[in-house]
Amino acid sequence: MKISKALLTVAYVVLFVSCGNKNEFPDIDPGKEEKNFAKGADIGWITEMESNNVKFYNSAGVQMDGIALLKSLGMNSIRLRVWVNPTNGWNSKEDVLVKAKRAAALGMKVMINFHYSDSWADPGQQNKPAAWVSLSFDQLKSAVNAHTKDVLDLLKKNNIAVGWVQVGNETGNGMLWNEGKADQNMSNYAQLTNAGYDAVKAIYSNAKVIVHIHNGWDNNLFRWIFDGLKSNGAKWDVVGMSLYPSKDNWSQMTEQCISNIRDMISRYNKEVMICEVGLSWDEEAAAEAWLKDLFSKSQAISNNKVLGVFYWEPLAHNNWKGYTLGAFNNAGRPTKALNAFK
Amino acid sequence: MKNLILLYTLLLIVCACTKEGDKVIVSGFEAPTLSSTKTQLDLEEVNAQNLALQIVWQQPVLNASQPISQKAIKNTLQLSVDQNFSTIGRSIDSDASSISYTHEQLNRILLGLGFAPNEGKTLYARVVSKLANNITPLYSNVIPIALKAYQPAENADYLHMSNKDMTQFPWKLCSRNKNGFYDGFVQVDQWYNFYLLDEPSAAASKIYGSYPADNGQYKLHAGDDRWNCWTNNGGYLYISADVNKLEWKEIVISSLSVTGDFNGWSTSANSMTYDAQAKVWKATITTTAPEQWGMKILVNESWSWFFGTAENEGECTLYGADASGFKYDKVGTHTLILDLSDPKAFKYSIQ
Repeated sequence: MKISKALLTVAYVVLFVSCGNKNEFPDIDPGKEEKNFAKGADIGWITEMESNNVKFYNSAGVQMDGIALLKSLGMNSIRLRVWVNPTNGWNSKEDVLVKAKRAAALGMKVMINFHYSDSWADPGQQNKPAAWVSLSFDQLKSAVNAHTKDVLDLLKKNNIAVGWVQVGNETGNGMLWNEGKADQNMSNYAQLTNAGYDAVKAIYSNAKVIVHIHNGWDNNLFRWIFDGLKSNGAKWDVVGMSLYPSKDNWSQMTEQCISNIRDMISRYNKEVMICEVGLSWDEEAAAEAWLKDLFSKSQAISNNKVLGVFYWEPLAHNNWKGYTLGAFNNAGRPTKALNAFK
Repeated sequence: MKNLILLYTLLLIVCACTKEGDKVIVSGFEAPTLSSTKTQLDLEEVNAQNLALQIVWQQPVLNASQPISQKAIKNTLQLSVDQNFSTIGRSIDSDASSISYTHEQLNRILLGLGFAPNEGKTLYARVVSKLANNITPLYSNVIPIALKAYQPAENADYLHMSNKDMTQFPWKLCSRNKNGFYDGFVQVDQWYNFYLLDEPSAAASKIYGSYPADNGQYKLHAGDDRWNCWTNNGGYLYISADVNKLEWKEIVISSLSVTGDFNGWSTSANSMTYDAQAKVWKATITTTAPEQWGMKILVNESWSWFFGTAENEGECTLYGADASGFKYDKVGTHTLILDLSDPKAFKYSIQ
């Protein structure tokens, strides 16, 4: 580094911000310490939204970068889905890297969520990528391993600190159907999971591998899938779960979810990550009460076994892609739901 | 030594504030590091709506003695066909630290920067980062991207204006809403004889002339017994044709005048002049601040017929009712150029 650059780097520049509005947008707080508990958001849509001229505003109505805005609201982590070869390019490994770089520059932690598909993978669909359709099962395992390494290697070469990696998304009935469909062949699903697990550890040895299941309140589902994985020799570090209650049942569902979390911790001796949450954007009072309750009860579990909570696509608003469970209103401003992340 | 002076200057920057406690100590202001998802790309119309290129920059978060806004830093992506950025083709202010382009979006930018379709050329990108007016801006590294633009398919609905023997097609009208109403701007001599054709060829499937009878001059007729149309006026004209009503009109354009904050919204102080060779209108404009309400170009000094805001950058819309002006944020003396030669989209640029 040249001396001049070093001088500039450490130079303390005395400047004066706009007199009278100085604390209006406090998104850099030098006194605030990072907490270990992950308070995060899935922001897979953000670059596509920006390309479509979607804007984000803080509660004072000031237009802001969406990620910096989430950070200013108390979030310290982001979650990014990656698709193998998406037709329209969004959520490709390159797009994931762009978002990861932005988050890393803001000092936020990153979770990578492998769908092992060219598009959405969820409880209703776990379609193989087009390029993998004709592969044998052994080749499929190799493809999972190679794709996982390829994406993570790209991130690592760009100095992205990946804290958690999801091997599969909402794989309550396995992934990469039909070979990896859990109710047809749990052993295959376990082997595919291990192919991803080993790849993660080969690139990021300290990253925690998450197996992520929908319906976090459904203990029967979780016992069935994780008993099956365990008995078939699957490896995972963290039990991941989704939780999407309504304004009318959030209290009961949270109780069931916390009970399920306690069971996962004791039954498998694993940590838990609440990977996805959401509630209708126009029920913000209920969402705020629910999330504060969820945070409180999750953090009360001993030994910090619950690692964090991620809101799924809180930036979605104004019926973006028809999704209504975001946490921004139609004017592009955060709702009260996000108060829970402060 | 130069750098020490700069550092000393930075340390002493003080602006007037009325209250104690407004002073904020900020450190860590560094130039952004720029990268792109592609270094070479051939744009394709078949992928028009798909992601083509992303440009991302990383910059350390400022350290501050008390909470301040990260918006204190203003970043602008600059695009140029010149690696020295002696001319900046496009400047984009961005709160986000990345910009993503689809093939269609990037293609439009490249054509606007002078890329010829199917010709490989290099686009240069950098980010300029500003912390405050009294602090020297910092520039990122420059990244070159080898790009090839495409010629978008012409899906506009045109009527081509031919001469009397249908051997030349110097002007065209467009139905922008594809509803049978066509309009456009032409420069012709008085008593100009013409036809309107649905393609620029004497073999066009539809050829409109005038109705072959007295008082049929402004009536359209596509039968073989049509007469040619002719204008009563010469000069710069607005021509409209309605193929549903089978009629056409001509209006003489006596002036195009630029109006905005810069001239107190005068209807006549800044008239444009027509460059017949380039087929564009030009005016020299001096502003002291970005136009907060945008700029309007009045037709025949009318507040109810003017060019104002449009959805696409670099374009303006012809309005017959109240609307906002188009974006004009340049400060200083510049040439405003209005190109009405293709009525599919009326374009403006500032040089």
